[in-house]
Amino acid sequence: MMPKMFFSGVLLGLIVCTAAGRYCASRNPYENFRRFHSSLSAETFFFATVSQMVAMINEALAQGKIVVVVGGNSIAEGRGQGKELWTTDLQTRLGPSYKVLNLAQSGMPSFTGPYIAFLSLALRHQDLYYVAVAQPLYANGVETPFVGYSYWWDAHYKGLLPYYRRLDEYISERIKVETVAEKEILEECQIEERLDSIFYFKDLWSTLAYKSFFTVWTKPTANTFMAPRKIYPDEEPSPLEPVAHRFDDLNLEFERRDALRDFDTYFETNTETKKRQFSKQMLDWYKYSIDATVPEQLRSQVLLIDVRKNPLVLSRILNEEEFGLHEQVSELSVKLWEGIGVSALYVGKDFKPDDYLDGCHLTGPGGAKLSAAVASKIFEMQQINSQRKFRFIQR
Amino acid sequence: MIFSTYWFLCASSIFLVLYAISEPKLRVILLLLFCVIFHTHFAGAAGVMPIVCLGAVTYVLARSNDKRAQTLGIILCCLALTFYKYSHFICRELLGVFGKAQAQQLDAWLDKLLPATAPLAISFFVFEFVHYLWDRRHGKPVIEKPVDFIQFALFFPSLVAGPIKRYEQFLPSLTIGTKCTSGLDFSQGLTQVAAGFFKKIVLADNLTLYINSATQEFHAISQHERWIFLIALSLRIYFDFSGYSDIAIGVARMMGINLPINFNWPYTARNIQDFWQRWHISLSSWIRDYVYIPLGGSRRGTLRTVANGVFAFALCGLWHGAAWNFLCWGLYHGFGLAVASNYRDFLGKLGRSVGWIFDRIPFAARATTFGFVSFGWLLFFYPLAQAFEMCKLLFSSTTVQ
Repeated sequence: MMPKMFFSGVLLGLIVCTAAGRYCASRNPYENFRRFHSSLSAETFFFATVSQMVAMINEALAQGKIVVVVGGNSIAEGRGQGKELWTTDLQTRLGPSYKVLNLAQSGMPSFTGPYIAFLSLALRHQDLYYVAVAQPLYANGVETPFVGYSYWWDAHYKGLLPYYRRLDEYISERIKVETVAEKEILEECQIEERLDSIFYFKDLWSTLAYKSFFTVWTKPTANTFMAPRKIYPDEEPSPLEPVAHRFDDLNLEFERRDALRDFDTYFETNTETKKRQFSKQMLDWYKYSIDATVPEQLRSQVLLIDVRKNPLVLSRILNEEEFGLHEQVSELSVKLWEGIGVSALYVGKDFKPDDYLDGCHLTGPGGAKLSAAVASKIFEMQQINSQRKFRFIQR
Repeated sequence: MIFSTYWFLCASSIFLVLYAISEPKLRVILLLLFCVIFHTHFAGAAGVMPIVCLGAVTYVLARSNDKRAQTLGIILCCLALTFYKYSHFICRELLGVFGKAQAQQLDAWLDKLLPATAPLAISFFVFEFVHYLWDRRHGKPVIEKPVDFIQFALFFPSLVAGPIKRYEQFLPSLTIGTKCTSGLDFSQGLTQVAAGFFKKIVLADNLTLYINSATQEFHAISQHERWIFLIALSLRIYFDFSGYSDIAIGVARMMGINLPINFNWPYTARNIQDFWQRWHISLSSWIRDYVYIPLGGSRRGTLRTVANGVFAFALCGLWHGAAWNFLCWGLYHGFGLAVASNYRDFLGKLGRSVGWIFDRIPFAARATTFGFVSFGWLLFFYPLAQAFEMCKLLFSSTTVQ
């Protein structure tokens, strides 16, 4: 009798949790959402799921808004900007017919997380745009896990993604050349996401973590780590002064490594002129990867931005030749993005040192300059897109 | 952490359901098959081959009635363990003292010869094989069927982190388990597995995050935080390891098979001897039966008893890893045991007074033992210089920002 009761209890518990998970997956749990600040991001072990992001976008689309999803890293997140968040400014500039959703997270590559949510909806919604701060000439795979969570496989197994042939082929090719260790990680990730597509434990856990209680200790939340994440306000410790006023705080070694952007990968030395030139092999690979990553039919809805690093920092850490190469990488990247039909911006040529908090993050005024550039580009894209839609209806 | 992989979760769930609904004869085949799949999946072909060879040699030599054959088997097993696990350590740390250049050459050659990591769970395999060969050498019965030997060697729940099994207890339990496993076994096993996962994932993994963070700023945190860190370090290894053992024992229990318990409230121990009867019991009893007692145990006078204990614990330390800090951790416990066993006699009146206090106030004895063991974990987890520095900082109120 006892084992029967026990197993019934286990089974019932599993069914109830699965049902709760599925319910959570269809809803946007976030209240007064501004962005995934540090207490709502992977750096404090909080993982917003792809279903939640899809639900957030759907909610905005249902209100008849033109939705601008912002993805990418801490520059896109607006780390350090506090109340003067650049996406808030962007919302103001775009007006009430638009809804800006800042889903970027610190350290997040440009083609994961919110990009996967965008992929799942963009084909059916032409009024949906994806804007990301992207690293030039750097394309990670959409399937690559971000802090152990693969948004791609999650969306894939939950049936959230339309079939993008070239993207699927590209992922298959990447998997073929993975090392044994990478394959092991991928296998684990795939099993995890397959299970999650049945039991929806991630959506349940993430919602509980936001609304009810948290179970993982992290240093930034140490004293109240079990508290639900919704109680953590989006506030940054103390607004930093622009880096120009506290230059000594910077880790120049790190900034230099970051600014050099794997030059050895991008460039090869011409044996005759002894000058560095772009490696053809690398460029071909990059062109192929970006071409496969952004499906053709969605390119008019994607805007990629390269934000130039702080000119003061660049002038201190790079010599003239290195600075030239640095600029070439950005300019070529923008050219390649535009070449495949994606909108692109290289922002920051007119920015002053006071527009930066450090080597790359923007201050409030710097963020306002970024949002101005992005807003005008979005208007441009929307104009072209609406004409396209009109032609489509005419046919 | 093999048990917390999704592969294990899925594969073992499917296996356990099939096992539960199968006929007894089919269960044996199923279990055998799953043990092979499990080992191959996690160890890879390169990791399986040395174990297969070593297992075959052990099986054949143990069947012989010639004691020399069994001794040879024990030597081969120990050599294999030394080769895979300690070659680099011996080469770099010991031979390097006599000739650095030659040691480097030898090390480079070993690099080509050895796999990047030692075969999965080779320490456990070797200890179980040595136990079998030693017992056979002392007249214990042979494992007749090769299938039984394979089950004993490759039994998947205990393969990675123990408990270290004894064949005379395991094989009868295996026979009973495959013949008649009950719903009660299954439910009790599942509960223990759940408890194990709770200890590992909720408690130990959280403590690990705290410890990793505190280690980096050990100089900067306050003195009382350093003591909290030390307690966290002790609790972390306990929850981690005992959680792992709970999962192993629980999974075996779900199949109706009993594995020996490995932890019995070790931090409530009243002295070091008591601690080692409660901590990693299957290892400490192995060390006792196959190292300490064969060396003479406590039968040859106090000095020899102390020397035997220190040697046995040094070996126990090295078994955990090929590094000086593990050796020091073993020696630390060896000397601790020697002191705990003899202080009443050697310190005269003072010793007897301390002993009297410990007898009357068990909390004092428990706290002292816990303190001693906790300091030992610094040696276990950190390189020697860092461990000593941390130890010093525990008694210093200085903080460096």
